[in-house]
Amino acid sequence: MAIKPNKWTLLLFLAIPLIPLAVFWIFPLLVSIWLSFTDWDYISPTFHYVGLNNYTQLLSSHDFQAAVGHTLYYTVFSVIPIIVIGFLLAVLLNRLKYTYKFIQSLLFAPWVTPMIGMAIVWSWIFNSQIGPLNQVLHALHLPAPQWLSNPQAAMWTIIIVTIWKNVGWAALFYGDAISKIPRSLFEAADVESLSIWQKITHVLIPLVSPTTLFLFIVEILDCLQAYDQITVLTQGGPAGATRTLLYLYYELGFKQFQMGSATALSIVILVVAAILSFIAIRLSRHHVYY
Amino acid sequence: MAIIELKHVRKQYDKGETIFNDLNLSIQEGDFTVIVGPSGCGKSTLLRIMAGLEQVSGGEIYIADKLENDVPAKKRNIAMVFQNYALYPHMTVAKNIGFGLKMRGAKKAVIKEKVQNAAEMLDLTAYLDKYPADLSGGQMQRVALGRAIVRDSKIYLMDEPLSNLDAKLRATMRVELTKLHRQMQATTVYVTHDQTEAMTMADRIIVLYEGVIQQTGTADEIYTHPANTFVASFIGIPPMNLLQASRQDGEFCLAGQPLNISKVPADQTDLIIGLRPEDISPTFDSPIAMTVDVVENMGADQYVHGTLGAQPIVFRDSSHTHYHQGQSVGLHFNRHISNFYDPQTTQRLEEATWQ
Repeated sequence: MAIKPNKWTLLLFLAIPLIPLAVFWIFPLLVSIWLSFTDWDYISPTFHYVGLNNYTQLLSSHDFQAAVGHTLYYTVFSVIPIIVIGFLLAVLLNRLKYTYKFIQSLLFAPWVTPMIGMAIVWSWIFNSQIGPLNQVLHALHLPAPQWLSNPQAAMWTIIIVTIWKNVGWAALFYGDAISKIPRSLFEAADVESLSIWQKITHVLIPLVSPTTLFLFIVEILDCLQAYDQITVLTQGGPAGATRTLLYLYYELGFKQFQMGSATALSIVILVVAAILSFIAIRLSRHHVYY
Repeated sequence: MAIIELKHVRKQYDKGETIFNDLNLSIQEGDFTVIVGPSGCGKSTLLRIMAGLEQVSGGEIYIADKLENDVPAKKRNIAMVFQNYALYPHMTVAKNIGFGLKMRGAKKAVIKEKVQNAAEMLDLTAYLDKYPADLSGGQMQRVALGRAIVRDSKIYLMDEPLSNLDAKLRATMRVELTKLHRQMQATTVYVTHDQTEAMTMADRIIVLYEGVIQQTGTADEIYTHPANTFVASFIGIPPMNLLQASRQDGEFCLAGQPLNISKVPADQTDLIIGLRPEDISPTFDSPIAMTVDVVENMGADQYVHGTLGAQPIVFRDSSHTHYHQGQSVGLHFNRHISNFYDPQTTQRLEEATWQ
C-alpha cells in the first residue's frame, strides 16, 4: 500500500535540507540587511538605527566611487583575457593526442592550489629588488616597473595573478565543450569550403556559447569576491589603487569597525552581482545555443 | 565517362590496421552508385576518401580526370550529406541551407533564391525559420539534403543518410531521393549497409566486404548472379539458399537425389548451389523434401524455413497454404537461373548450369 504523505510530512522533508541553508545563508543575509541600517561598531553592545544613512554616505564617498572604478577595471581586464586565453588554449590543446591529460592537469593546478600560498610566491616573483620577473626584464633591457609599489602596475599584478589562476580552469571547461561538438560539424564545414577563421567564428564560437556564458558569470563573481591575492600582494594599496569593493568592505568592517557601512556595502555588492547575472542570462537568450 | 576513379588505393591507419589494400573503382558520371556492405567493411572510409576528409596511404584518386590526392576537402567542390546530418544547431533551416553560399561570398539575393528553390524541392518552405532542434528526423534529413543541393556540385556523397530514420519514413525518403536524383542528374555516391536501399535506388551497386570489392553491377545483375557466396547471402531478403552438394558416382546429389548439373570443372568434388527463396516452390511429387520449422507471414507471401537433410533452407510461398512445424514438404527447383559456387574459393562457377 502506498503511503499518502500529508502536508506536515511534506513540510518536514522540505525543512530538513532548508536548515543549513537558513542557518548559513538566509539568516546571515537578513542580519546583514538589518545591520546595514545601524551604526554598530562590531565591538560595543549598543548601536543606533540610522536609517539609510549608511547607504547615502557610502554611495557618495570618494572611497566607494574609487573602489567601483577599481573593481570594474579589475573585472574587465581579468575576465576578458581569462575567457579569450582559456578558449585559445583549449583550441590548441584539443589538437594534442597523448599529452592532453597531462597538460590539462598542469593547467588546472593553479585553480586547486590555495590562493594564499600562490600569492606569496607571486609576491616574490613581482618583488622589484629580488624578484625573478624584473631580473629577466632587466636582462632583456626592458622597462622593469616597481610592480607592487606603483599604483598602475599594482593593479596589473593582481590582474595577472587572477588570470594565471583562472585561465586553466576556463580552458578545461572549453576543452570539454569543444570535445563534445560532433566532428561531422567541422567536416561539413570543410566540405563547405570554410576557412579556419570562418570555422572558428561561425561554428566553434557559437557552439561553445553556453560555456562562455557560464564562465562569464562565474568569473565576474570570482572577481567581485577576489580577496586573497589582494591581501597578500598589495593590501589594497598603494594609495588605495587596488582597493576593490570587497576589499573596501573588509577595511570598513574589520579595520575601521564601521560594521553598518560595511554591511551596507556588502548588500550593494550582492545587488550588483545579482543584476550582472540577470543581465548575462537575459542576453544569453539571443546569443547562447544549447 | 568515369567522373571518380580510384586506382590501387591503399588505406592504413597509424596503428597498422589496413582498411584497403589495392582498391580500384570507377564511378560513372550521372549515375546513382550505391556502395553497400556490412558495418566495418570500409564503405564510409571510402566515401570520406572521395570527399577528401581522409588521406590515402597509397594509390591515386582522380576526380574528373584530375589527380586529387593532395587536394583538401574544401577545394574539391563536392557536396556531402552526413549520417547524423551535421546541421548547425545555432542556425535556422534557411541559414543552414545557405551557410556555405554565404561563406563563399554569394550575394544575398542569390542565396535567398537558391534556398527558396531547394526548400520547395524538399517541401521545407514552412520550416525555413525553425531551428534544427524543432525538427523531426526526416525534416533534418531534408535540410541536410538541401544544404547539399544548393552547392550545385557535380558530385554528391551521402553517408548512410537514412539510417537514423524509422522504417516508414525511410521507405518514403528512398522514393524522394530517387526522384531528386532524376531531377538533378548529378553523380551520386551513396553509402549504406541496407541492401534494400541499394536494390531500390542504385543505377550501379558496389558490394564491399572487408575492404575488398566483391561485385559491381546493376541491381539485377547482382541479385540474379551474385559473384560469390558473400554477395549471395548479403543481397536479398531472405538471403539466397546456399546448399552443399557433393559428387556421388560422377553426379552432384542433394539429399541423395541427382541434380543434373553440367559443365562443372572435373576436379570439383563439392559445390554450393545458390537458389533464391522464390526459385523454390512446394510440390507433391518431389523426392527432395524439407522439414518445416518456422513460417514467417509477410502478408502478401510467407517465408517457410526448415531443413533439408542437415542444411537450412527457406522458400517463398505466395499461396496461402498452411504449413506446420515438422511437416515434410516436397520441393521443386526453378532451373532458369544457374548459380553454383566453389566451396573453397566461394567464387561463382561461371560455366556450370542446370541441365
